[in-house]
Amino acid sequence: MKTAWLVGQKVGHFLAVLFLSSLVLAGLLWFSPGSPGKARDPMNFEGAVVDTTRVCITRTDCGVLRSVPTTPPKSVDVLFGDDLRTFPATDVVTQGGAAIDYDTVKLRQDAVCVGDECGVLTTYPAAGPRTVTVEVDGVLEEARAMDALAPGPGFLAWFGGVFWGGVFTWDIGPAYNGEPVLGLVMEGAKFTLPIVFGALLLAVVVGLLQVAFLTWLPFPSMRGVLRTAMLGLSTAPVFIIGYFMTKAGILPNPDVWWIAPLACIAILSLGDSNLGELLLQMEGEVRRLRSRDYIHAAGLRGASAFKHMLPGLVLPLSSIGAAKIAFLLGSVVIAEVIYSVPGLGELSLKAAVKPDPLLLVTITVFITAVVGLVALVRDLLEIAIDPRVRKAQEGG
Amino acid sequence: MSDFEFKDPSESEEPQGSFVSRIGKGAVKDLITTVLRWRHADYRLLIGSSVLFVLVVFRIAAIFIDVDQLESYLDSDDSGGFRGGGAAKHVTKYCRAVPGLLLGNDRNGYSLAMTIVEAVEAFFEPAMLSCAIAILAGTLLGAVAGYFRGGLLESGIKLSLTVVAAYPRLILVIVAMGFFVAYMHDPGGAIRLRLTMMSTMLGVAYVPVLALAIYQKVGQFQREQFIEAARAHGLSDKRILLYHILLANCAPVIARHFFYLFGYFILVETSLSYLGPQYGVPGSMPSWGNLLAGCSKGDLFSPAVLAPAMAAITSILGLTFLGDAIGERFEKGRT
Repeated sequence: MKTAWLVGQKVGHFLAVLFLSSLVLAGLLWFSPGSPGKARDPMNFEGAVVDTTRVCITRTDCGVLRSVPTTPPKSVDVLFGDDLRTFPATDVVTQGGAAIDYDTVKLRQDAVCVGDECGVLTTYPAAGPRTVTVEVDGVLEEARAMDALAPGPGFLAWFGGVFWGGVFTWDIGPAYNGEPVLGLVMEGAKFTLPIVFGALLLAVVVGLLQVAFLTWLPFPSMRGVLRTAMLGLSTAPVFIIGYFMTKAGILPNPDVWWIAPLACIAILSLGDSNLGELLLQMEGEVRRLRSRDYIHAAGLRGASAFKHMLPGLVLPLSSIGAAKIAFLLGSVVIAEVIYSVPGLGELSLKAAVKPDPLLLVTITVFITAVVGLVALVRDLLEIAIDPRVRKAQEGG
Repeated sequence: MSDFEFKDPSESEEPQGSFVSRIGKGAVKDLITTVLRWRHADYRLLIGSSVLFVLVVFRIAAIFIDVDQLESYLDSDDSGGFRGGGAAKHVTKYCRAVPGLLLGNDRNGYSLAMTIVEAVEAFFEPAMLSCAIAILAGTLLGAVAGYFRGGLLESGIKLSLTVVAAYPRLILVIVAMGFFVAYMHDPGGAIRLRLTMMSTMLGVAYVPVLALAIYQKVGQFQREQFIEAARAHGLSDKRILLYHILLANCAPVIARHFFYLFGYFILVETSLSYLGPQYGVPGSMPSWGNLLAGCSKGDLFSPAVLAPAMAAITSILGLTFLGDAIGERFEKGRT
């Protein structure tokens, strides 16, 4: 029961972090020029009620509708011989003096008269701009009805209804290219997640091998030199390693699809200090474990120290990995662009340039969810493996 | 004669050589001692300090350099004519070695050495701004959460830091670009806004890292006797936290993270500039990232490729070394 409560706490923490991170992003978006709360759709005046309906005359200036759209007099062109003149449509009559039915009258055929002069119509009544009056901050403003915009949704309506409601109904809306946002994110994740987890796995394995080599090395003075060399190599930014790899001929090949993702995994695991930091952290953990009495005892009994150290390394390794995932999910942007992998990184850059804030928010929340999920798995692993965590909970 | 009695040097039994030979002997001895000491010297501190010194010198030199006013060394086939303020001395292609020019020329035909120096402008002040934001917010939040433990304040601060830490730093920079810069009439020209946005976002994204370090430090110091003594003397929490813990004992932690973040800013700026002018600094401003991208068609081992790459790697490595060395040297014995 206590363990279930502990697990519930961790899951609750994950959900709270996920919700709050999306809230912060939505708040940031709300104050940006591309805020979804700003008016952008044309106003439909059917059913609009004077003194009640809200209308925007620009993307940010909204107010209450004070007058319904009115149509100024329409005009027509009438040809008298060679003389073309424009008159208000209501001034033009038939030869008998009756009002003209503009739905049936034929251009350049049926005779029409204005006063004493008669001629033929060359145009139908031009549609004049309809105008509306809107009270914005106590000032009456007049605008063309076709320019008027419908007010955007409120923050809570957008965040709760459009965004999270859309996540649950799997329909947030279209992206910049017309495709559904969630579909694009899921397609990108198919590339990005294997690359990121593959890079982490490769870095951990290579790091462990290096730690084993440095521990075994019979010349202690060489350890510092080798460690520094590895750190120096690992400090190279991902883009520089990617650049040199492409210059060396490792290029994306449409016929061999796995070259680009593998190259991304390689440069991600090595660059941006990823391997160097992992090496230092793992070396520290191994050194700490080697100084423990039970490892000494195992060594004295002739048992494999590595075998006894391995269970003790699981939790530190999972902690290091969980902390590294967020960093790798950032660096993957560079690797994906260099190798033209259509993952989340490349997609986020496209969304930033277009710009498509909704897609950008969705990608970021997805990435945050992945980071949180990895941390949750690490916490659950700790609860399962480390009895001290459970005992601490039971002890209150 | 007692052991401590003054002895006339002329009565000494040691052989007396000439003045020059005595100086030479001392100098050789000093040199040997120095070399022997270097074995124990912290090479990270030496490398890091040198890199920082060079960066500062480059930044000062960049004030006096305006690449656009330099002579341009472009082949007429490439540019349709010479460019720049001065008369052309040589005719050659871009991103190539040019006689008389250190490191050759860059993608526009300008002196690569000069451009590399001027490119320091692209990250120096923005990185400082980023560090200032991270240090101010991170120190404040970490110190408050670490000192006033066990309350709602600590839980709130920790939760907010966890939320910020969940965003990958680079993604946060891209988000800010998409939200604010991309809507500008001329996004490519908004250099200042773009760099400020990058600085702010990286500074904010680094706050949890520094706050956690300060939080742990403050927690350790709270159990120290000198803090209990300060409390017993009736000093206020503000004074204990500000002077006795942060100012007197946490400065090395802050310095360490300052250099880490400085290096990380260089990494992000050069990476985004490499990807394209719409992501990093615009093409009109030199950056080590866009210098490398501009010469991407050059030879692999040409100076035009190696120089910007090595400048970025050396700077990041040096600043990381400096941070590590400061942490190891000055944080020891303070916990």
